[in-house]
Amino acid sequence: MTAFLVFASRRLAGAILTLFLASVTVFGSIHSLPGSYADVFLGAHPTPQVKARIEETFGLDRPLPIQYAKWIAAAARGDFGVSLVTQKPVAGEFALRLPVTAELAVMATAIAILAGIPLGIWGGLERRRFVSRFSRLCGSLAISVPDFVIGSLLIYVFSHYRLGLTVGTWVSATSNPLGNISAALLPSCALAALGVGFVMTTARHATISIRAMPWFLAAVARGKTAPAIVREHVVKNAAIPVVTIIAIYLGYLLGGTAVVESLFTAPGIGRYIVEAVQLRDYPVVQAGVLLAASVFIGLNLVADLVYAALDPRIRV
Amino acid sequence: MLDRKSRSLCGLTRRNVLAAGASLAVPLFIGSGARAATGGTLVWGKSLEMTMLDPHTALVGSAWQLQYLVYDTLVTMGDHFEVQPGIAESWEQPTPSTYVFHLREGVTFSNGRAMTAADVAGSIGRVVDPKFGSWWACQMGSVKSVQAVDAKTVKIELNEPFTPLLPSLAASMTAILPMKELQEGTFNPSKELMGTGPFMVTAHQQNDYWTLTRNPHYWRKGYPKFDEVSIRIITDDGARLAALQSGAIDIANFENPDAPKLLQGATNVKTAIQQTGDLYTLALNPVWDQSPFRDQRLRQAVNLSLNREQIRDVALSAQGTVSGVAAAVFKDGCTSTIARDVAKAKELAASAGGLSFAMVVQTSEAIQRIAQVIQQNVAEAGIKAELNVVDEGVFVDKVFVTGKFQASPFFWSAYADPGMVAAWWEPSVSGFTGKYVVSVPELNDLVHAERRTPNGAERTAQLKRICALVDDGAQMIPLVTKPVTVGYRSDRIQADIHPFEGYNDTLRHIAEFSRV
Repeated sequence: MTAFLVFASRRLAGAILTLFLASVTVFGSIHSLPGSYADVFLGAHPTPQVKARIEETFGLDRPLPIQYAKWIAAAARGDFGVSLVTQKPVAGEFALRLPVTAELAVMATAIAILAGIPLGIWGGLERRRFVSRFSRLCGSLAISVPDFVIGSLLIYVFSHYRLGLTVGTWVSATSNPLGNISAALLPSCALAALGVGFVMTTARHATISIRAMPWFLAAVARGKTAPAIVREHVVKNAAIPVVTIIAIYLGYLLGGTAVVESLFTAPGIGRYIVEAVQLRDYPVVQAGVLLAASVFIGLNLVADLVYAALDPRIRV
Repeated sequence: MLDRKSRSLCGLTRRNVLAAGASLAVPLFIGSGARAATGGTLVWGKSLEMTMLDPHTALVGSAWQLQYLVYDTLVTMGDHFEVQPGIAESWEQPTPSTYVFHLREGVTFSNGRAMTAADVAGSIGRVVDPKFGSWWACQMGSVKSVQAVDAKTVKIELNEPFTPLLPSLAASMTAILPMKELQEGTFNPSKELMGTGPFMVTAHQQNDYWTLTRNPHYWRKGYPKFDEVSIRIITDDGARLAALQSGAIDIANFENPDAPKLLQGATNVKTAIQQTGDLYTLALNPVWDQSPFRDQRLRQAVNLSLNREQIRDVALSAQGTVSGVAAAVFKDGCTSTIARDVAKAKELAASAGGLSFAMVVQTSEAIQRIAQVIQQNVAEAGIKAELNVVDEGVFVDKVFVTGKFQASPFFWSAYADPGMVAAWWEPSVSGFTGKYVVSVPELNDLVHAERRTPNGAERTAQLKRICALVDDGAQMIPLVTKPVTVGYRSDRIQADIHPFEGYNDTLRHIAEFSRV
C-alpha cells in the first residue's frame, strides 16, 4: 500500500508539473503571436487613445509574468476570466458551446460504431478476395479523405438537390429537437468517416486474427451457425482493440471538430477556440487549451493509477 | 467658387433645395415597401461576426452592417451617394463652416425615452473628442463646437469648411447614442446596443447568432415590416450558399468574387451586385529600411507591370471597376492613370539593379487571388514576387502596427465621398498610415484643399490631380473597386438592394423588406 501511495504521489506531482508547463506554454505562445488583441481590434485604424484604453481595461498593459500569475491563480479557483471580445465569463461561453461539440462527437461515434463494426467483421470473415480488397479500400479511403472534403461534398449534394436535411446553419436542440438532429446529421457523418475507417480496419484485423485461432476452427467444426460464431466468438474477442480505438476516437473528436464545426456553422467549442485565436482573445484560448490539457493529463493519471493497482510491477 | 449670395440666386437656397429633396425622398422611400405584408422573421446569413459594439470606434464593415439596424444617424445616404435626411429632417448651412440640423419629431430610443438634441450633440461631440480617440474624427474636419441649440436643433461649427462633413455624418461611426444613459452609467456601448433604429437586440451568442426584434418606438410608423431579424453568422461562403439554396436563410451577403456565378443556377435565388467605392490596393512600402520600395523607380516598375483589367477579370471574376484613388463609382471619381508598359517596367527594374520582393497576404480568397495575378504580372517584367499568406493578427502586426513589410494587397473602404479615402494617403490626416506612406507635399496640400472646396468643377479637378499623384507615387496603388454580392430568396422575401453603397450598409432598406 505504501509503495502504491508513493507511486501515486509521484504521478500526481508529475501531472501537476505537466499542467503547469502546459499553462506556461499556452500563455507564452498566444501572447508571443504577432498582433495583440488591441492590434487586431483596431486593425487598419489604430489610435493611441483607444489602444491604451483597451490595454488598461483588460490589464494587457501589465508585464506578462504578472498577467500570467493573475490568470493562473484565478484559473486554479475555477475562474477563467472574461472573453475580451464579448466581455462575458469564459466558463459560461464554454458551457454554451460544449453541448454542440459533445452532440457531434457522440453522433459521429455512434455512426462509426454502427457502420464500422459490421463492415469490419464482414470484411474479416469474407474469404472472397474482391470483398476483402474492397473492404480494405473503403477503410483506407475513409481514413485518408479529410473531413472537410467529405463535408463540402455533403453540403453540395444536400443543398443542390434539396434532400431535406438542414444545411449551412445550426438549429439548437432546445428550440427545435427534430431540426437539431436534421442539422447535426451531416456534420456528424463528415466527422464519422474517419471513425468508420478506424473502427472498420481495427475490427477487420481483429476478426482476421480471430479467424486463425484454433478455437474458431473448432467452433466451425462443431457446426455452429455463422451468426452464433460472430456473436459468441468474434465480437467478444475483437471488442478490446475496437473499444480502445473508439475511446481514442471519441477523445479526438472532443478536441478536434473545429474544421467541421466551421464548415457546417455549428457553434461548438472547436470553432470558438479557432476564432478566438484569430481575434487574439487570450482568456478563451488559454482556458480552452488548459481544459483540454487537464482532461488528457487527468485521464493519463487515472490510467497510470489503474495499471499500477492491477499490476504491482509497474509501481517500481 | 460660389459665395453664399450667389448660391441663393433665384431663391434657391441650399436649405430649400435640401428640404425639397428630403420631402421628395421620404415618400419614395416609404412608398417602395408600402404594398408589402408585415410580420415574420427575416433570416440573414451574415459572413462575419461583429466584434466591436461601440459604433464610434468600430472600424470594420461587418460591425457597421449590424449597427445600422439598431442606430440612426443625422443624415443618411441615398441609392446613388446623395445625402438624405436621417434623424435630421432638414438642415441649413448659414456659413460655409456652420451646419444647423433640425431634428425630427417623435424619435425615441428603444427604451422608450425620447431622443433630444443633447443626445445628438453628445454623440457627435464624443466622436470628435480627442480624448475619446475615435478614428473617424479625422473624417469630420476640424470641428470647433457641437451644440444643442434647443430641444430639436443642433449646430456644428467647423474651424474651416469641410465638404465631406455631410457624407461623414451618414456613417455609423457617428451613430446617435442614448447619451443620458451612457453618462449615467446605465448603458455601455461597448457591451450592448441601444438606438433609435428599426430594430433592437434581444439575444446574441458570439460567432453564432443575433436576434433583433422590431423597435416598438421606431419613428417611421408602420416600419419595419418584419417583426424580427434572425442573423446567423456563417463564415464559410459555401455554407452560406448552401443555406440560401436549402431555404435555411432568406438573404446573404458574399465576399467570394465567384458568388454571382455560383448563385446563377440556384432556384428562386435572386442576385444583386452592390457597387461600392471600396478599393483593393497594393501597398509598396517606401518607409521600412528593408523594403526595396524606398526606391521610387521600383515602385513605378511594379505599377507599370500591373494588368488591372486582368486583376478584375481573373481574380475578381469580372466584378468591380478599375479605379483610381477617388473611386470610379463616384461622380467625381477617376480610373487609373497608368497604362501598362512591361518594357518600361523592365527597364526601371533593371536600372535599379533588379527586383524581388515579398507580399504579406491575408487569408481572404479575393486578396489571395489578387496577389497571385500580381505575382504573374510582375513576373512578365522580370520581377520576382513571393507570397506569404498570414492570419489576420500577423497581417495587422506587420502592415498596420510595425510597418515591417515590403508589399501587401488589401482594401480600403471609400465611404460616401470621392475625397474621403484619399486622406489615407496624407499621413498627417489619418495619423496611422505614416508607417507605410511617405508624405508628398503637393499631394498633402491637394488633399486638404479638396476637403475645403465645395463640390463642383474646382474640386473635380483637384481630385483628378490627386489620382494622378497617387498613381505616380505608387505607394498604395489603387487597383479595382470591391462590390458586394447579395443573394436572396425571391420566393420568400421582397427585398430592395440598392445599387451603390459606401458604408457597408448592405441591407439599408431592411425596414421595407417583407415576407412574400
